[in-house]
Amino acid sequence: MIAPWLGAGDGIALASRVRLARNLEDLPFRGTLPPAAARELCERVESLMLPVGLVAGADDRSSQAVLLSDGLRVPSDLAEATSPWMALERGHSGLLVLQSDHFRLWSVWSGLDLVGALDDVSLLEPELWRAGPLARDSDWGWRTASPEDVGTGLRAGVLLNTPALWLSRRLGPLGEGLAALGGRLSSPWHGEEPGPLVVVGNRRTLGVSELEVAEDVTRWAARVRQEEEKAARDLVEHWGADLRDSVHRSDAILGSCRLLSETEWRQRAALVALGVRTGWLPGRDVALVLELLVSLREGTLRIRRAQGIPEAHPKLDDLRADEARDIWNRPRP
Amino acid sequence: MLLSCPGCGRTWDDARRTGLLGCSRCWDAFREPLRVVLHEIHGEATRQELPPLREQVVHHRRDELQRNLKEALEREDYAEALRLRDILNAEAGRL
Repeated sequence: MIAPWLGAGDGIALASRVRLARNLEDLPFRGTLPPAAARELCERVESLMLPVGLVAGADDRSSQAVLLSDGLRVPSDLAEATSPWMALERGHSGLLVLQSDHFRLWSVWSGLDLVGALDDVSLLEPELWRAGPLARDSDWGWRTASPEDVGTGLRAGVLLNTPALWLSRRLGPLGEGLAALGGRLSSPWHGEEPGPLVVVGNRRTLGVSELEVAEDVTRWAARVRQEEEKAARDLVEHWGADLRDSVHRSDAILGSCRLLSETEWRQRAALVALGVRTGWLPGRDVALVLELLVSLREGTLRIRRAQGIPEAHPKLDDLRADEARDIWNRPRP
Repeated sequence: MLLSCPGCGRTWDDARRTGLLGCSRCWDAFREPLRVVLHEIHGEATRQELPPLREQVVHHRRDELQRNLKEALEREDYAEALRLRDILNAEAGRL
């Protein structure tokens, strides 16, 4: 299992995540903080947070930190950073030290429940004062490294399984609509194009309360879920027999392929995801599809299959196929 | 005139180029240009006066539970009403 909070829900809204940015008043932000001071902050915060149950999960010296980005514990760009950072965890919440801000408190809940995730971080937030006074502005709220996060410092997002929208190329227009409302539709992983898994989240952090943000994002996610259901119905209605054939072909290919390109992987994974939704693939479930969509990403593949990657491996197509077969042929309970 | 932060030395040009401020004092040093930037990003240049996050969440939970309790009583679902009342009592001690 990638993470306990993934793979549940209604099969479309998989997980709800919040991240709260906070900074210390008297310490330079990450971009201007000398490495020795950054390391000292990580170590100090680790010992300060131990009494509240936050324990070290990974840091910049961890060789497999990229795998934490699979379960949305650590952003993928941070997992690859070489300057000091640290991830502390407690159940399905945690604290990132020195992402772009000194602190990013996070929580991920299964399904569509941003208020539940907010509840978690609101319990941890007062503990940050143990590290010193937090930077706050009389006009603008919590001071952050980026003006994009000032105010509440809150990023709320819902992870959605949207194979039908992706296959019918409707994610682009939906993303534009969300942007006009102050939201965003993006890949769960930094720098990647939105695929069959997307995150619907907020852009605005100033002039709105945390609960208003949670309500907006919940409403947008529910709307995208409706659109996904409609797109799936449209696909089945228009391409019934052909679509079903493609789903079964994809099921067979994923279980037997010897080379699998990145493009084909996304396409096949989206088709089997749709097959699971329609009930055309009994015995397959959302958790399995999710593993297929997460574990075959390049960064993850390089870590999981490190032993099998020659130094100048031009493409990962054969390793991606190995991993796909392993996941897809795993004995079912 | 070149605007720079007395706290960390970052200039406004650097901040604009990278999208990142250098320290908490940058928010004072670059106040005027930041006002314009914040309006562009958020459409607002001021925060709301809000109680602490914990207080907001607990009140929200309590309001939701009270609404559900009222609905349970209206449909005479007393088992559910009892369950919700117990949760409400437990929640009362959380703030």
